[in-house]
Order: sequence, then structure tokens, then C-alpha cells
Amino acid sequence: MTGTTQVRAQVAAAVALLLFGLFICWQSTQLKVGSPTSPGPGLFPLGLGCTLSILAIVLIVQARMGSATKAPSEDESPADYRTIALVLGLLLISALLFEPLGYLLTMTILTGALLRLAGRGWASTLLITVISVLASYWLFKDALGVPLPQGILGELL
Amino acid sequence: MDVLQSLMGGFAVALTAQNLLFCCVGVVLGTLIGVLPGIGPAAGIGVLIPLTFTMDVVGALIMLAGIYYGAMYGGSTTSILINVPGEAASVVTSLEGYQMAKQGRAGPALGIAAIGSFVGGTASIVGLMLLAPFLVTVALSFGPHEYFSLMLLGITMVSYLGSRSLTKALAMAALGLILSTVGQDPVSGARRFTFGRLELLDGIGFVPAVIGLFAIGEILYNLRQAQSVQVLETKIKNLWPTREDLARSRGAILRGTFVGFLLGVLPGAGAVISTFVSYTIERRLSKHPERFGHGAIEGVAGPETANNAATGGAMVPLLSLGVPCSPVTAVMLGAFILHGVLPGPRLMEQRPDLFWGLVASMYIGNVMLLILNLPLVGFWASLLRLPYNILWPLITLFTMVGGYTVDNRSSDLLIVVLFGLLGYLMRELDFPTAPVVLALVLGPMMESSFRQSMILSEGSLVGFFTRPISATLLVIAAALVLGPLFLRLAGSRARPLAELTGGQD
Repeated sequence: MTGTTQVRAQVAAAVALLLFGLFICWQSTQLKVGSPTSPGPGLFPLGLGCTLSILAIVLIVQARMGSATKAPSEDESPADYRTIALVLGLLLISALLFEPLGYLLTMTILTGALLRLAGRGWASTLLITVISVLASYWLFKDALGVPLPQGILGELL
Repeated sequence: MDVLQSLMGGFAVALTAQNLLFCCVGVVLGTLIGVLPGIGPAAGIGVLIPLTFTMDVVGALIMLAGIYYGAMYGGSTTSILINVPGEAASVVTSLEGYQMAKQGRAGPALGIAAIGSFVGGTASIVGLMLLAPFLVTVALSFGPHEYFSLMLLGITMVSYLGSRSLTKALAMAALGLILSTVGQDPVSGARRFTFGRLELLDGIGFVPAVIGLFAIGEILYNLRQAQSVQVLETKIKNLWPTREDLARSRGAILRGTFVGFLLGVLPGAGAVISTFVSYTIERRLSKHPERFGHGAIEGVAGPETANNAATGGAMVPLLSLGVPCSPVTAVMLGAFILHGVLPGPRLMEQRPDLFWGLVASMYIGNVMLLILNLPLVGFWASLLRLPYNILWPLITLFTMVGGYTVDNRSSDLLIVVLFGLLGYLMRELDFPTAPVVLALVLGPMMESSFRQSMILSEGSLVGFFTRPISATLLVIAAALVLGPLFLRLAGSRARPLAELTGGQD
């Protein structure tokens, strides 16, 4: 990231934290804050929300003054945000599909997709996916006795 | 002697076939986690906790502890051989270790790393054995004020020592504390920040959060650069350091043991920082400092001893006081809790078999690791021939499953993904992750201590300062936060170790 993009990113992050802190403060007042002699459920979060908000303001100031920027790191090549976004998307989808589709199907799709993203060829992807998904299924379900969702496959078989 | 008798009892527990097996599995997994870049002991322990549910608590802890100190052995392997640290506590080892490998001296480097790790690890267990019972007697006079102040100091220290920006670290700690309040308040039953979602009633599970933050976050961040294939080129010839190597390393190992143990016990410091301190000490004390940066074996011996000594030290506050002071010990506390056991002074009284069994197992584990890491280092090295682009998808697979197995809820998987995104953003924007984890685990305890303290002092905050122990702890914490501020106003810039460390433990 260039200098100014970095500063903007830092400010954005600090603003996000500020908004979150204020949100928490607001929500905490909806709970019973209680009094110092008998603290209620809202007291601790309220104090924390205020603390976070104050720290966030300090961060905004620091970011604008430039003292919060990271020293230029070794990454000369542009960051591969596309891959990161794709991986996150895949993880999200697997999280949502895990129970409906079941372990075997979901993890096969996930592992296969990740290996392809990682640059493996079709043959090696297929081989590694099959071995690792089956091995892990056996390991968790039979060796360790962990219940895993069967999903659609369970109903078909 | 009382201690020896208890220790014998501990060996009786640790030497059962089952516990020996768990110990072995733990140290092997730990070495593996240490060797593999992209996953560290905190995430590794987090992923494996659910798998210990069917085990009894002693065996589970033996195994999880084995992962912790085992990782400190394994991390040096990748640092030395391919200049990629297996985890944060081995970063410093690569400075001299990789240089030695380039000179064809990978063998002695690995050898001295293993020897130093063994000495540091074993000595720190002796320290743990002697210090913990003493601290327990001190802790029996601890009330809620003292516990709150100690936890606050721990969080402050982790923030101060582990990050370039104290403000960012404290903000992350506050964030972690806020996230720990999500769910049903145990005292009043009120629902906090659940927004009507049933799954949030129990709060944000710390295991999925740790897995997401540390494992997934790290993997995502490593994807920034196109993957370069690691090629292991160096052949490992004779493992044994020469007589000269041993002579040079003796002092470093001795100093590393003390430095590591002390920094391990200290709240907030830990294995990573101890390696930097040890390296700096060795360089300052050396009669030939120009050798550093070109394969000075003391630069391997000292830090590797220190990071293992720090693991024993870190167990001291966890086991004797029940207060973890680093992310890894925070995760271990979570493991205790999930097994229905609370470490601390009462545990030493009620279940001495647990403490002494664990201590004895750590001695045994270190011996196992010495064997694993000397003759068998070739096996670990061959793992490094596996390309990273096979490793990271598989690690992702295992961590996702790990997140599910805690409670068999797919909502936990969503937490893993969300915290993974958070972890990635934090690394991208240079926010430290360690304070979040520590705060997430300590949050509930801190809040209940705070509320109890307020009730006891009848609403007065002065209570924290009239009690001597609590006051001391709070003053130290305040000094850490306000100190740099004053120094900056006075003109000098206070940027100590924080500049060198990267944050994670």
C-alpha cells in the first residue's frame, strides 16, 4: 500500500472502531447499568465502550499525524486480494453448507477448490482431496468419535 | 522433602500407559505444529481442544501442554533450514541458524537448538515446581480486587510488550473484552448483544474465535504474496555440535534459561519476547559481536533455550493463580474450563494429582522431544519438502473441522470465518491479535471480579488502591500505559522491545 492509502486505511479502521465503541455504549445503556454499589449487566460493557471510543479517537489523531503507519514492508509485488477474497467466500459458503450438505460433500468441494486456487493441477487436486477428506473423515468420526453431519448424502445412502 | 514426594506422586500419574501415550501424541503434534509454518501453538491447541472432550482432564492437559512446549522445539527446524520460522518464537533463531545452515552447519545448529530447548524446558519445570506452590500460598490471600488488578496488568503487559502501538493494542484488548460480554450475563440473566440470535446466548466461543483469528487469519495474510515453493536444499550432516560449539553455547544456554523463565512468569511477556531479549544479551556480551549475523551459534542456543524456558514459566501463573498471561496459556485456560476444572490455588489443594501429574509429564515430554528432535530431525526436515500450496489448503480443512467439533454447531463455523476475516484485517492494518485473545478469555473472569470488588468496597474504586497487592499491580499497569506518554512529552521516544517483536506469542 502507498503512504496515503495506508493513512486512509488506518483512519478508516479507527473510525470503524469508534463507531463500534459508540454502538456498544448505546446498547449498554439499554441494559441495566446499575450503580457502583450494585453493578448491573450494562456497567462493564459501558465502561469498555467508552474506553474503546476514546482509544479510537486517539488512533484517528495518530493516523492523521502519520505515526501509526507501518514501516514499509518487504512486499513489493501488489497484494493478491482476489485470492484472499475468494478463499473467504469459499469458507463462508462451506460454513453455510456444512450441515445441509454434510461433511464429505462440503469438505470435498472446499478442499478441491482451495487446492485449485493454490495452483495445483487437476490430477494432484483430485488425489489430495480424496485422500485428505476420506482420511480426516475416518480420523474424526471413527478414531476420535466426533459426530459429523451427514447431510444429503446421509439421506441418500 | 514435600516437593519431591508430590513429584513422585505426579510420576505415578504421568507414567500410566494412557498418559504416556497422550504425552507422546502431544509432543509429536506440537513439533509438527512448530515445524509447519502458518499454524502456531495457540491455534493448534485451540483446534485440538474439542478432540480431547472424550479424554479425562489430566490426559487432555498433558497432551495440550505437550503441544505447547513441543512447538518450541519444532519451530527452530524450519527457521534453521529454510529461513522461515515455524512460529513466532523461532523468528530470532533464523538470524544465526539459517546462516549456519548456509555454511553447511545446519546439523550443529539443529543439535544445539534441541539441547538448549531440553535444558531450558527441564530447568523451567523445576522452577515451576518450586514457584507454583509458593505462589499458591500467596494467592490464598487474593480477593476479587487482586484478581482484577492482576488480569488488568496481564492485559496491559501483553499490549505494552507485544506491539508497536500501545494504543492499538489497548483498543484490541477493549474489543476483546467487549466481545467476551456477548451472551447471557451469568449474574442477572440479561441478554447482552445477542440481537435475538439463539446461538449467541452462550457467547462467542473462544475456540472458534482463536481458530479464526490465528489460523485462518494467518493463512489469509500469507496469501498476499504469490506462493513461492520452498525447496529444502541443505543436507543435514552430523548433528553433533563440536566441542567449541558447546563451549560457546554454555553461557548462552544458562542465561537463556533464566531470561526465558523470568519472562515466562511475567504477565504479558512470554516466549517470543524472551527470544529477542536473549539474542540481544548474547550479542552484547559477546567478545566478538561481529560474528553475529554470520552464524554465531550462541544466537541459536540462547533464544531456543529461552523460548522453552518461557513455557514452564508461563504455566506458573496459569496453574498457581488461575490467571493466564499470554494467548497460549489463555487458550489452555479455556481447555481447563471446557473440562470443568478451574486452575488456581484451590485446584492445587483439591487435585494435586492434576498439577503434579502435569509437571511430571512435562519432564517426560522434554525427554521425548530430545529424542524426536535429535535423531529424528531428518523426518521433520523431509516434511518441509511438501510445498506450501498443498499445506495451506489442508491446514484450512483441519481448522474448519476443528471449529465445528467444539459444539457441533455450524454457527461456530461462521464465527471462525468472521474472526478469520477480522484476523486478516488486523494483520493487514498492523493491529496486534494477542490482546484480543487474552481479553476474550479473561473477560468473564475480569468482569465478575470487578463486580464482586465493587460490591465488597460498597461502590468505591478506592478499594483497589487500599489493598497493597492490588495497588502495586495497578500502579505497574498505569506506569506502562502512562510512562511512554510522559517520556514522549519529555522529548525522548520510548519504543523499546515493541519495535522488534511482531505481536503474536
